[in-house]
Amino acid sequence: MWQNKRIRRLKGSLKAIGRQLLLILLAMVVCSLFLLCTGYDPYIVFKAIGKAIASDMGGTVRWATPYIMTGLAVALTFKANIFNMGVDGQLYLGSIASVWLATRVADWPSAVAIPFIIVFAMIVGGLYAVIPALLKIRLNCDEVVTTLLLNYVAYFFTDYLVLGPMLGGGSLVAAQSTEYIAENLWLPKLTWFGDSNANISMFIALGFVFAVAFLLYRTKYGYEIKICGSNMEFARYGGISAAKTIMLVMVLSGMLGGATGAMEILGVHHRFSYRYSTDVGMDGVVIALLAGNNPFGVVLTGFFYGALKNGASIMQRIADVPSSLVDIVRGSIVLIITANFSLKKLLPRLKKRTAAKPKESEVA
Amino acid sequence: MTVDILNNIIATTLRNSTPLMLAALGGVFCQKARVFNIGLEGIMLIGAFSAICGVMLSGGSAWVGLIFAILCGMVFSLLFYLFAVKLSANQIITGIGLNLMASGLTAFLLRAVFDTKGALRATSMTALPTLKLSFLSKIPVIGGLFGELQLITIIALVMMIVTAVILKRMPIGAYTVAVGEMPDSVSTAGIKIHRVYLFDVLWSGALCACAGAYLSIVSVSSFTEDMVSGRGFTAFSALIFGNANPYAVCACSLLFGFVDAVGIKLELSRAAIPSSIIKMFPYILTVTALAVSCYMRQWKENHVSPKHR
Repeated sequence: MWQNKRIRRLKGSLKAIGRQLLLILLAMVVCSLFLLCTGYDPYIVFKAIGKAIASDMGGTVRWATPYIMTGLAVALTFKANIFNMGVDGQLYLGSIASVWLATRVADWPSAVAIPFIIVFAMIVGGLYAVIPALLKIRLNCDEVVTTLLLNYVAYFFTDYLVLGPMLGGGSLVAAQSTEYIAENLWLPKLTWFGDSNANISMFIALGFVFAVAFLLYRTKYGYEIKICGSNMEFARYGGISAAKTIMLVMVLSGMLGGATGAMEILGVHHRFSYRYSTDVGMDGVVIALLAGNNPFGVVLTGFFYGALKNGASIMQRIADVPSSLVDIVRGSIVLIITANFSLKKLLPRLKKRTAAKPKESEVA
Repeated sequence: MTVDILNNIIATTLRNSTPLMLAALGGVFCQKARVFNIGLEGIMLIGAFSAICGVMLSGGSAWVGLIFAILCGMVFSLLFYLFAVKLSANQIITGIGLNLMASGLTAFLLRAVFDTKGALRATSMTALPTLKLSFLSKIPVIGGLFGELQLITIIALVMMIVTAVILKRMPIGAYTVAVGEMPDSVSTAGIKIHRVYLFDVLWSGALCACAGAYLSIVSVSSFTEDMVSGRGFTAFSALIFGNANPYAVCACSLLFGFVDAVGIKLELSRAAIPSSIIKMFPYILTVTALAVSCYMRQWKENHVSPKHR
């Protein structure tokens, strides 16, 4: 009995992974067709990703880290059927907060200072997520819109800090960024991939993955989140406070976003440059979706996304195919996944359609 | 001197807010029908690119560019219709997908077809006519407003009225509002709601593409990668701030454009107030406005007895 359950679970996860792979493959085939039409090498996407994994694992790991984090942040809110589109804003505030703190704790021992900075960035990110959560709970404001808007507030606020009070002096290269943080606060690099930006924040990200998985699958909060996500009315009937759950997922998601920012700063950039990060949070939405909101799935899709991102520059180098091709791959992946979900929803209806007259009213 | 600055700011405001106005007006019907179309950004980018393509193909006619852009924008927005309405996929995710697609597609085609990296400049182009109202520009203070109006700015203003008229006076406007409120009842009343959605989405495609065309053929006469750079989301914010009322939406677009103009001016004059802080304000205002409108809705629900509803 016990073993049966385990086998069934294994089968289920294998099936999920298989489905993911199939969808990714489908998106890449679509791109290959596109490439064929425009007269490029149609297998270039496959080649680039192969190369990104085989010969430049370091770059892939470097990009996989923030993708896993933002994917995790979004997946957590998706579980409760809440959209956090504001991971980018939380990431920016977390980054600037970590730079700010790093200049103040530069002479601390790094074993104390680094966790302290990351925790501080998490607090900042989490606090920023309180605003949309409160608006959602108290006033029933749509959290998609508020988080999107608050992203811009965060962007402009960090713009102000970087171009104003926190602007670093020095060469032309440093023109629009803060000073570098003290070298003892840099996260150690992972050396076994050769020279790359991969650093130990990968392990921190994996730690967060396990923490979120534990929260979701082994605690009562995880159960409440799941119930809230699947049926709000039922949750209320069962005595689960929807407000508390929304607050919980939003704050945790914001904390993950803030931590991503700190890890990017401490691990890769070592300073905050004007608008340095682009759309990692938006990609998080896609990653979470692709992973079916499973924390371990996020690791896989995060790695895939990292390889794709890293492969883009390789592709441009080896075959002179514009790296923007990757955006087309990403876009088609998104559309194919959403279509897939809805096809699953549609299939029973289509079956019914043969029996009864179609009903047109069921739209999004 | 101050009058000069004022005129300058007014002119910049109009220049900045024209694309916002068009895109936000495009979103009005979608918003009324409760279709979250954050693909505005992507459609604008497609419009900007295809406008320049049209100019190149026709040998320099801006009109062909504009019309080609509108057609392409409508075709691209059909993708949104297909996924978000026909396949009832999640609208937000479809929007993100469209934005990604648009940015990839335009940058890729730029390299693959025109073999240029970064920017595509239309070599020769007869610009769209501008309206010079010389008698109005003599007015001392607000003369700058009328000094030289771009044709598309006027189209945007006309579109504001057209949108309002369609929304208030035409059946399709009423259907759109009804679909947003209660799709089931509309469908029961015998209206093909998919057609209503189709109209809403196509409308957003046409106007957003027009906004994109403004960016590429009027303001700079070239296409650069990702040249829309968040304007679609700004337009979306204006749409939310204006609560999908055409006039209010245009006023909010003007506010966003004005703030941008003041920001540019401050950057040039090295004033004490940093421009980033100024630029932050409309977004904070939008969030506040959203919160207030949500509060009002809740208050109404709590304080109006069911009899009077």
